[in-house]
Amino acid sequence: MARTNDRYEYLHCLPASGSGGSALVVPMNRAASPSRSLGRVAAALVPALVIAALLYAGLFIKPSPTGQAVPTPPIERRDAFFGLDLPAPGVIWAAGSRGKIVRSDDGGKTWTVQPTPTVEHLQDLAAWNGRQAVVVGNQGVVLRTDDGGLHWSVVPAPRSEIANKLLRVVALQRGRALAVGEMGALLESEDFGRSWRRLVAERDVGFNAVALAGDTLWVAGEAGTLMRSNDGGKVWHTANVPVSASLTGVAFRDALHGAVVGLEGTVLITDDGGMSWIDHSVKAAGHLYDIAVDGDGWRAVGMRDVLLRGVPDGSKWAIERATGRSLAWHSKLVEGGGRWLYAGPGLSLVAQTAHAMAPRSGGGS
Amino acid sequence: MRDETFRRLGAFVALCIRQRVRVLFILGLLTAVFAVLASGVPVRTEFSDLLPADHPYVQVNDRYKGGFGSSNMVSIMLEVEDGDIFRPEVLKTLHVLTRDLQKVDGVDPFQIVSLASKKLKEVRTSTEGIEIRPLMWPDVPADEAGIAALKLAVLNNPMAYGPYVSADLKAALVTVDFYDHLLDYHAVFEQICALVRQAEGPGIALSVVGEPMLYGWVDHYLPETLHIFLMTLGALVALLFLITRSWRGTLLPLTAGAVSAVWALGCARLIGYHFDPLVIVVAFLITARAISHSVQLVTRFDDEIARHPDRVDAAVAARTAMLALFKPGMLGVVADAGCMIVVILTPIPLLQKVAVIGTVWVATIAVSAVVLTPVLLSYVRRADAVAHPVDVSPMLARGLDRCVRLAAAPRVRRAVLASSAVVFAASLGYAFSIKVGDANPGSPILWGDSEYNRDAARINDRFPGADRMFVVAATGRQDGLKNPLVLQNMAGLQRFMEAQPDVGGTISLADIVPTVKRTLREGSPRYEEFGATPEENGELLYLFTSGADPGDLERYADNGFADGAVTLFFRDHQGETIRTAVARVKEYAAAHPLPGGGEYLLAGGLVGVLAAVNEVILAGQIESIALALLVLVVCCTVTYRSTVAGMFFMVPVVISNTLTFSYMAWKGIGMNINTLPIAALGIGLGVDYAFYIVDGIREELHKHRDLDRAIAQSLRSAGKGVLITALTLTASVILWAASSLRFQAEMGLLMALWLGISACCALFVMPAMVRMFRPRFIVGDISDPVSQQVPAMA
Repeated sequence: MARTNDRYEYLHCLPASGSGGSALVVPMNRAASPSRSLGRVAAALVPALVIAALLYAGLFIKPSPTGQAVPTPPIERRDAFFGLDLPAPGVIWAAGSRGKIVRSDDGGKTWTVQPTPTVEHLQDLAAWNGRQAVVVGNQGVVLRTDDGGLHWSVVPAPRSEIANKLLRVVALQRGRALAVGEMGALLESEDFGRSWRRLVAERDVGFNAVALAGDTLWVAGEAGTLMRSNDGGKVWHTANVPVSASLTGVAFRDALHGAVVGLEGTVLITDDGGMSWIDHSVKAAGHLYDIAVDGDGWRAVGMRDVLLRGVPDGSKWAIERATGRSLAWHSKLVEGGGRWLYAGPGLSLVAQTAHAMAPRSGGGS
Repeated sequence: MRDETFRRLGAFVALCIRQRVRVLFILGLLTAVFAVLASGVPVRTEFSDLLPADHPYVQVNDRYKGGFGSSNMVSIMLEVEDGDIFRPEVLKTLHVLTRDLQKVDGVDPFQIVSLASKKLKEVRTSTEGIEIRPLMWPDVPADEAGIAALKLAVLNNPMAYGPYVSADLKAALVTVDFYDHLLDYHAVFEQICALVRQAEGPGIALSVVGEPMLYGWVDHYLPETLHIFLMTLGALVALLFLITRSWRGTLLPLTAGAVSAVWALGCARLIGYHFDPLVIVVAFLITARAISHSVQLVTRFDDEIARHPDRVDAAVAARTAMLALFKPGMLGVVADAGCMIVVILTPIPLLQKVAVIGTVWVATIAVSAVVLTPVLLSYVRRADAVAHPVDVSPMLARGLDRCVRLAAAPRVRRAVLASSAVVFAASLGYAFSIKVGDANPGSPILWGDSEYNRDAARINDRFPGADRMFVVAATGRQDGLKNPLVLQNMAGLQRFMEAQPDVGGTISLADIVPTVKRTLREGSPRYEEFGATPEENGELLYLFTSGADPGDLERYADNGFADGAVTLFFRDHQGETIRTAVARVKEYAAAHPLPGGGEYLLAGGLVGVLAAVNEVILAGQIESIALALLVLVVCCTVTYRSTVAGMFFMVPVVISNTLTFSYMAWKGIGMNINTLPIAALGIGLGVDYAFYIVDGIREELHKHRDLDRAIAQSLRSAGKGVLITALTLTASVILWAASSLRFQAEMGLLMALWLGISACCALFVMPAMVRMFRPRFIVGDISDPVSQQVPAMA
């Protein structure tokens, strides 16, 4: 740490003040005190350490970008729920695309994704109660649970060589269930979905909906297909309908009064147990996908958030919005505790439950 | 040896003053030549300069941007006040706008997409079979029925409804892409603004965003920027004139600044660089350095004159000033230049150019201030005359006396050091929260309520997001994308990415295939799924493209269906948003490799290249700061032959940097391509003042052995120069706050802060440290008269 010799500057510049140099010659008083030697050690070490640290930081520290953790919501934007059921107060149970089944036990405030053994699109879910339910979907997949969905297991069901998509399933009393789908699939189970058998022979028409009215089974399908069986599925009669559009939903208030909906706003009404069907189609409604009994009247849903409400005799229909929040399609409608819920894209389901279901938990119904 | 060096320096100084006519002639000639060169420097923003060309993201962007959309995409939103866009006059406006956009310079006519373009198609099933046709091309529907049909078709079309028509049907989007190499920001901005004005009408509002528009706005404000620059200069002149009370104190610093600028810009022209308007802040900062050095010399000159009032000799005083300040001045220049050149390690062309020009610019100060100012000073005739009656020097003297007293009183200086330590520790902690990338939604270059940022907010409100990133699903084999497993994988990526709230939406081939299949199955949502086999997907895609231009799918996949794009729409491009998105894409790609080989390639589009820029800056920021500090330490160590000197001068630098970084973190100014050069330059900036003060103390100690007196003298001489520059520059730089460019306003404040803190460090902290620690490279073996003990150097 030699001192530099800047003192010469004034000797060169201002010869008049040349006496400055001699003042620097001073006696050295190096008292060897411990604190002083400590300071010397520090003065020697610290700079070396700092330089080494800077060099290291400059050459080797390359921060790499890290993102924030993004939690995956139970219901994602791309989810589509084709089927749902409300088996108990506050319980919402829905099945949809990519093998996804979600369940809420608090009216939709919180959701749980239930593990399933399939990634096929699931088309419908029907529950007998809060624990036992059955799900059907693409590739003829049938799942069932006994424990509220903690475990879903694949159940073997009759398959076609050609196409096997199952579209709807209904849960009936005493553990009975009926499922319909492509290639004339009409499957029946009487043991809470454990085993299944075909009720009609395979044929190249898809069935879209099934319903039980009194003792009569009704099945609706492609290209105006509408059939009934009074003996539990042994003998089938084709109903004459005045339309050729595909029929997608069927519902009966009692053994006599029923309604069927279909594509392009098709609405058919019967008041004689299906002997005759009257065309009350509402073309402006677009494709309709499901219908249900709503008190004395009727309620149907379809594409673009359409909600069709009909008077008891089905002669007058009003087009409303199902959710009013988007123009999403809805493939199924279910009533529970006085509230209607529509199966549709995940966002629609979230919107319906987030806003409308909240007061219910407060009301204690 | 040292004596020899010093004698040579003395001889050089004497030569400069003796041969002053020749020196002036040579410098004048060089300045004239550089001035001619500098006048031809183009002022513009060059797009390719902003991107790190070697970064894999940028390479992916360059390779695929032709089809998948470049980072220069402009989005124009047409919005109606009442009702929806499905009205004849609105559709007509959209149609005309879409058509006229083809005439904009550099536009890629095949990448103009809107409801009125040929690109948005409808697939419909009818009794004759499948029909595919553009939604609203070539003409707007003529009657109500046609418009109602169009509305229905849009609602059923996920390619249109959502991405190009807003969910509430009140807005339509037009996106335009450009050929990068033909892009002229200025022309594009003017032409698109003209089209927008033409399209705007009662009840129809338009919003425009996109990088070309952003740089167009910067360009638009160039005259204002120049005005502010001139006003700053005017304020500077006025303040210097007020404080120094002499023409030399006013004009010489300005001359130094101007000569440096001319030389640097001349060099820029020689190397073939252009001048980016956003870099003007850096230019001003360096000019401030030149002015500051020159003010030191003039102040010193005045002191020398005042010291010998009986024997006024301008030449001798100039020589003395030059000789005395040569070392701290050159040390300041070299340290600044060294810190600036470190920026060259950041592999972004713009930053490298700024580093080169900045280094040259700083280096010219060695001539313009260190040599030219004293040479000109030697011509001063009536050195003791004052130019106006207002005298602020007593105020300055009082302020400096206070600094002297601070350093002299042991308790006070301990308090000063303790509080600096506290400030340092606190700001260090806060400085780490500084963000890389943009810290706010919208563009940080413009104010939040600027037209551009308001437009951006409106568009992001109605649509999934105006900022795009594409990820390439590269299967590497013909028809690889038709594999249902590949499509499912892509859809999975989209699903995964959409969980991030900043991602407004995603789109890819995996959205098109199910739509076609659904259309074939009577529009049933239950059939919105992929085909079971590659062949079925191929048929679905064939249906979609048949009867259409082969290039119509090019936004989603290449012609052979080997590589496809997953396009993500972002609501903002904040650094955090981009980092999270990129990390998530990587996470997904690692967990779900594309079936059958192939990989996901990151990342193109604006957000993709911003990700690359941010990664480069993030990786380089520690490097630049550490290496700049290292340069500083080495400079000081070599100059003073003492490693302690290196540590000593790091103190003001580190304090001013942590404080300014804290300010940036507090104000939400992110570390990005525009702020990085200023931050790097600021590292050298903090130390210049300290050099002058400390060197003044050393020099005084050669004359006597009284440390307190030496500190007092140094503060009154060098400290006065520090105070003058800090006051004048800070006061003038504040004018930048009035800029319409938020970036410049913030940088102006940042510079003012930097200059202020550096001055405070030099005036308060450095003397206190010298007095307290008595480093040997300054005080030598002079013992402490009070305690007879030298505390350990921390």
